[in-house]
Amino acid sequence: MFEAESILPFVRVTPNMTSLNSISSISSHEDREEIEAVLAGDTSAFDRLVKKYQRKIYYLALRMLGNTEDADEVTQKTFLKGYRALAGFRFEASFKTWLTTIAINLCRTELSRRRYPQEEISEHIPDLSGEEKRGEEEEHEHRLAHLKEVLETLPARQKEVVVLRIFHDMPFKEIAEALKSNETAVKVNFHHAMKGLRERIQKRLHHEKM
Amino acid sequence: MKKCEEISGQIWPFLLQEIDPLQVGAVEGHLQECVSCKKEYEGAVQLLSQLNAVSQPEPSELFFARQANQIQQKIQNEKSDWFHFNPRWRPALAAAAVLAVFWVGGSLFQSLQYSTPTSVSDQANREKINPPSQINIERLNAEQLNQITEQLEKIVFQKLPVIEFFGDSGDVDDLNDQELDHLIQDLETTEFRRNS
Repeated sequence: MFEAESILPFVRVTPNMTSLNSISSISSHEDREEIEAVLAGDTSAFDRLVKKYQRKIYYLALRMLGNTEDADEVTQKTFLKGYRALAGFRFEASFKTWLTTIAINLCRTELSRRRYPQEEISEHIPDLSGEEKRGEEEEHEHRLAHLKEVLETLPARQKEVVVLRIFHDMPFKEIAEALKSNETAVKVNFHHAMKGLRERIQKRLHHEKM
Repeated sequence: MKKCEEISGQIWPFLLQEIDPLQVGAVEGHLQECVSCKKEYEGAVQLLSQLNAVSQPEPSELFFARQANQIQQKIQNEKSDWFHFNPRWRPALAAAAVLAVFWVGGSLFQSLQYSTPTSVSDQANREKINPPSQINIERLNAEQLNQITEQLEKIVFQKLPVIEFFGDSGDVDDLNDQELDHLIQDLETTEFRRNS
């Protein structure tokens, strides 16, 4: 029998929506003081904001771009652009969400500059059937590496939603704000992304068995 | 069946604890009963755990310190640039620039419009639209009448033919016969020229 208790241990330990929202509002309230100090000419206040959010932005860019150098560059550009546009920040969203929007846009620019052939990649399933048998640990690593590759094959918007929700720990509502979309569209994109990932993984497993 | 479709869309929000609290019971209840949805849920749990395990390079603290330093340096460089002096000034400067462009553009447009030579038909049309204002002479006082008379004289004499010889006093009564003949001849010639 499938008991509710058997579900709960699997549930990922994340703060619930209420606590996420309250954290966000506290954070934006704290940031307001820093932002106003920056606007008054105190650049050290901006340095504090950089130190507070640089890791989040860096890891987001790294997930999106898969390259440490580009992630570093995008992180720096995000903060510079944020500094220049700070006077236009209206506190409608949290500062973190606002920075995330800038970072996502810069990642999109970088990805379009690279001109990834998305259509070709989306159907590409690495052929690993000929490789020798690995140990359990190797197999695990291999699966994760494959998952990483499969993530890259997702359509751009779906990948953005997955990265923001899973790796960036952003609630759907904030993702919608960051991507200038609505919550339902974000959830639909996420659902399709997960469905796509599972299908690709199953296809790969089937491919390996043959 | 419809229930399964509904629950399928709720599995990820349920797993990520982003589901409406009122729907939690319904999803849990359905997962206990439906084998297909339970399987989908377990697959989602497995995928989430795999995704969470996907690692990425973890830079050192030194890397982030250097990065923060570089950002700070770039901001300092921008601050030394007068335009990037303070972010608070940027919208004001941008607005001032836009206003300046409109003002200069407007002035140029106006000057070009007035300096453009107009054709006779354009001028006629303009006079139709803006006819010269009419003056009620009866309401004018003596001084105003004198001014208008002077102006009219100027206009009339500007348009009249210039007569080279008009005697010493400038009065027609003082002219002798020969001078009068000469004047009449001049006027006739001028009139002839005008008519022709």
